[in-house]
Amino acid sequence: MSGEEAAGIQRDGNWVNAAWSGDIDISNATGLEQAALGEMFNSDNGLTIDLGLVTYIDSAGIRSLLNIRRLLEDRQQRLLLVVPSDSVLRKALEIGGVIAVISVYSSMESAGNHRA
Amino acid sequence: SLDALRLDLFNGRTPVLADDLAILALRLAGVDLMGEIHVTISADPRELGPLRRTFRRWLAGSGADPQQTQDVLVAVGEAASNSIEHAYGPGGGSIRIDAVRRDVTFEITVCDRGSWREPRGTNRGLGRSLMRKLMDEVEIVTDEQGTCVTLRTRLRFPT
Repeated sequence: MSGEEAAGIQRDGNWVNAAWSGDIDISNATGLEQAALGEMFNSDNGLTIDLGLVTYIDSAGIRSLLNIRRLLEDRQQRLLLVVPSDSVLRKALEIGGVIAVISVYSSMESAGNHRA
Repeated sequence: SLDALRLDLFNGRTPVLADDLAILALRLAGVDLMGEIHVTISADPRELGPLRRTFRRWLAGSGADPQQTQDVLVAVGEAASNSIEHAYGPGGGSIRIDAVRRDVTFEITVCDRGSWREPRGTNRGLGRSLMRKLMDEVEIVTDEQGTCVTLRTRLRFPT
C-alpha cells in the first residue's frame, strides 16, 4: 500500500480530501500530516480531513491537525474537518483546541457544502 | 500446574484443553485471570498499538462505554508517549504498565526508569492537559528511579 492510499488521499479539482482511518498516535501522525500537505498545490483552495473512520486520536494527531491548519492558513488555504456528531474523538479534539479553530462538520456532504 | 489450579479454582471445575488455551489467549492479550493488566513494553512508538488492544479488551470486559474507553486509551497513550519521547535517550528503555479495577475505579500506572525532561516545543503540554481533563485523578511522581504516572477514573455506567 502506498503512503497516499494509507492516508486516504483523493483530489477533487482544486480541493484535496484525506480520509484518515484507524488509530493516530506518535507512530503515524507526522506521516499522515506530511502525506496530506504533500498533495497540496499552491493553487488549491483547501483540504478536507475526514476522521469518520479514525478509532483513536491523541495529542500527536491533534498537533498534526493544528500544524496543518497553521501551514494552510499561511497560504490562505482552508482546512475542514469531518467528525461524526456522536464520535468519541470529539472530547479530546475539544480539549486540544481543534474544534475552536478548525471548522468541523459531521459529514463529508455537509463539509462539501461549505467549501466556497 | 499452578495456572491450571488457578483456573480450576476460578471455574470450580476440572481444567480441560480449551481452558488451557483460554489461559494462553488471556496471557497473550496481556490481561491476567484476575482481570488486571501487568505488562512491560519497550519505549517504542510501535508498542502503543498493541498496548491499546490490550486496554480495549480489558475495558470492554470491565463494562466501560465507548467514550470512557476512548478517554482511558488517550490518557494511557499520553503517559506512555511521554515516556517514549522524553524519558530515555536514543538507546531506548522500557515502560511498565499496571492496570487494576478497584470496585468502580480504574487505576492505571505508567512507569519509566528514565530521567525527567520537561515537555518542550509547541503544544507539548497538551498531553498533560488531556490526561487531567479525561481522568478523575492524575498523579505524577518523579524521583531518581524514574517517573510514574497514576491515572484514576470511576466507571461511569456500572453494570
